[in-house]
Parts: sequence; structure tokens; C-alpha cells
Amino acid sequence: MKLIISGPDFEDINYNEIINFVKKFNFDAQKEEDFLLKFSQYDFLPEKFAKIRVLDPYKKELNEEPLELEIEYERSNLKRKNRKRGIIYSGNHFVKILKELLKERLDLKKEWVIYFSDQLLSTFEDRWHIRVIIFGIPVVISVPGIVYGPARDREYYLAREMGFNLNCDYIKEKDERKTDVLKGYILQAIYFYKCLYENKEFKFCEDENCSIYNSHWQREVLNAQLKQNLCEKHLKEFF
Amino acid sequence: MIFAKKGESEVTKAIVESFLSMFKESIKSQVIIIGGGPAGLTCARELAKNKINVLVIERNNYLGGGFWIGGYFMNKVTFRAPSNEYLDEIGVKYEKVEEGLFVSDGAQACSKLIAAASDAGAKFLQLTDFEDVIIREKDGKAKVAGVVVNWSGVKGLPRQITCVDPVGLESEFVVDASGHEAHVIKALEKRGYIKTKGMGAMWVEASEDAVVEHTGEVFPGLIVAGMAVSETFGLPRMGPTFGAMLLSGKRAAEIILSKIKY
Repeated sequence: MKLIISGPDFEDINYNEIINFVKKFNFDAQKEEDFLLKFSQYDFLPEKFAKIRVLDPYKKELNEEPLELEIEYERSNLKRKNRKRGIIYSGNHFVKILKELLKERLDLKKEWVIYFSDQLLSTFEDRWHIRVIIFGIPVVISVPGIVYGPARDREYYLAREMGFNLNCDYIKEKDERKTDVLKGYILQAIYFYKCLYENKEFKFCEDENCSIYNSHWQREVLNAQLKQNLCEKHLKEFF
Repeated sequence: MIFAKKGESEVTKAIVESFLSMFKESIKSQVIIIGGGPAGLTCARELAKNKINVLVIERNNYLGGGFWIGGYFMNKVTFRAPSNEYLDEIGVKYEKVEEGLFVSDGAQACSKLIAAASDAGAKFLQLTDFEDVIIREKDGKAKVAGVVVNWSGVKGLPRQITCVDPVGLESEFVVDASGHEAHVIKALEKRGYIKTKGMGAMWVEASEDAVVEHTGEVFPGLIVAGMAVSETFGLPRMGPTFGAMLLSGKRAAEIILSKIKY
């Protein structure tokens, strides 16, 4: 199977290392140029992104009536190699936009596509939650989501409220470990595609040492995804 | 006797004449800035430096807004790179906390910024409340063309004894730098010209970028700067870090400079 990884360049992400890692699982993996940069000349695209901004963490409604300046921001940001951040988007809508753009090549029998986003993505449950990975076609992984999605320990937030920082070893903005963490999430993406392909239900792993485990905390990411281990059951799925 | 002999009437006359002369000049300005906080002051300085006739309207007696205090009554203000370069420009001293993060004394930073705007030639009307926008229509297109203001004290007095009409001040551009309250934007919203989004959740790390990037002409003749940008676009709110206020104010001035008729 062919696995396509696309996304902008990140200072602390080594795409070659990720491609070589995926190849170990017998995938014909390759990196493609950033899809969004490639499609940034499409005139309809900025408005689509402006419309999927999350405005209120507690309200499901998105930015249905964007202002001209918001559309202009999206227009110039799409064209940037180093995009600005500060907006939180609906992850599922983000996937939908990519799906529309890539519709001709999203054939599960030919290739599986994973897009690395440089923006923060979230999904709505009781409120909007920042996510690392959005399962859809294509699978989208938010690189800044690794830092801001999984929660830090409660002690960290308590300390912050009291005005000081706990020196914890969480994934930071510029962090070489992100490449390894992404490998863990790529295993999740591959497993998701495999389930779709084989018409099986996708379920996270119960084993917190397995990369298919659904990490909610930074400390879980530092174990499950950073180490890229697979439990016995999931190891068999990959080979 | 140390001081020159001058009576009360001469002192009062000096105040009145000087104020009226400034006020008369301000009836028609090139730019009116609503809000004398860090974004408004920076914008005022940058415009005045370029010989633009600029008036800052502030509802409090003191200028500086929240710039005196860093958060939780602690008078240290923080900046993230590259906003420290602006501090260098106006002579504010600061310490490096860690790579990319700087801290300064609120009193020194704020007073230096006020002085910088004043030295550049900006004019100020304190204790003045923004009440409404002046809208002009030309060829079926609406444009902000000034503001309606009143003495701040009027709002605090019982209605029965305050029938004080406001006055109108005209300008080519109005800058809404009124912070979280976004007074000018809200006035436009009330009239149905614009719909604001409200402020989002707190996320310091990247919301500063977004505030600067979204600073701009939100309606013909109206530029939005500083925290009013967050309120207008529903951007994540910021904690007590002021870099975006300075850079947003600077950007607002750059936008006006590129559009204003000399």
C-alpha cells in the first residue's frame, strides 16, 4: 500500500525519519509538498477556512459569517510557508475541506493520505477540545496539537494558578521529540485506514503502552506515542 | 519669593486658553484613537511621528490602560520577542526572563510609552467618553467619519441633573483601541453594520500573533487594534503579555499611513 504524507515544513520535524519508519511496516511511503500551499491559489478556499473557526469553547456554532479581514487572513496564511497560528479550527470540517480538495486521489485501494497540519484543531463534545489526530479521509494530525491537546498533570495547572511554573518534561513548542511522537500517531492513522480498508470497527487499544492507545494526558503521550510500541495484538495487525 | 507672581485668574486663563486651542484643533483630526492603552498610545506615537494630526480619547484621567499592571495587581509587565525591540526604541528598560520572554516595570514602561506618544505630537482628551460613531454615506457606501463624545462624569450623575449633550469630532480614520469592550465596534454593531464574534478561550502562546495579524480596517474608516481585535474576531484571549498590544498599535498606524490622504 502507498502511504502519502503531506504537510508544511516544521523546524523540529524530520520527515525523512518518519518516512523511513513507515517503510519498516512495508508501506511505499512518500512525502508530498504541502497540499494546502499547493491549493492556496483557489479563490474559494480562504472563506472555507474562515467559516470553520471555533469562536467560543462552549458553543458548537462556528464562524458562519466571516468578516472580510478574516478571509484575507486565511488567504495570506494559506500562502505562507511558515503559517501564523492563533486560530482554533473545527477538525472534522478541516478534514472535509481536504477531502473535497483531494477527492480524486482518496481511493483507499490505491493510497492512504495523512496530512500534518500546522494549525490547532478541535472537536466538539461537551465543549471544544483540542486534538492531535482527526480520523477521517484523509487523516489529519495537528502538530501543535501535540503540545496543546493532551492535558498536563493537574499539579501543573494548580501551580500555574498559584503563579509559578512546574518544571515538567512535557512536549514543548520546539521539541525534537515531536518526530518520534508523530511516528506513534502515524501508527494510529495506519491502523485506522486498515480498519476502514478491511471494513472493521476502529477501536483504540486498552493497553496504555501501545501506540494505538488514546492518550488524554501528556504523560500518556510520552509513554504510548513517543515510544512507538505496539501491543501483541496490534503488532500482528501491522505484520 | 521663589516663584513668579501670578494670580488665580492668570493660571485659569492659561489652562482654558491652552486647552481650547488644542480642543479647537482636534474638532477635525486626521485620526481619532479611542482608548489610551498600549495599543492606542503606540498607534498615536507612530502616526504623530509621521506628522499625522492624531487625537487620543481616554475615558479615565490616567493614560496607559492596563499597561501599568501585569496581572493580579502585580506591577510587572511581560513581553515576548520581538516586541522588546519596540521597548528599545522608546527607551524602556527590561530584563530577560528566559529566551524570548522579557519583564519590565509597569510604571517605567507605561510612562515611557505615554511620553513617547506625547513627544511625537499626539494630543489627548482624557475624562472623555466615546458615545457613538459618526457615519457618512457617499455613493451608497457608509464610512466612519468621526466620533461623538461627552465628558466621562456625565454617565456617573443622576439623569435628572445631567442633560449634557455630547459633541461631535470628525476624522478621516477612527481607531478602536478601547480594549475588551471594543466600544466603537459595538456602536457599529448596534446599528447593524457589523457583527462581532466575542472573545475566545485564553491561549497566550499564539493569540498574540493572531491579534497583530487581524489588526486592520474592519469597516471603511475604522481600524481595530489591540484587545478590541480579539473581541471583534473571537480570537483566543491573552494573558498579561503586552507585545501584541504594541505591535498591533504599530500595525494599525502603518495601515492608516498607507491609506491616509496627505
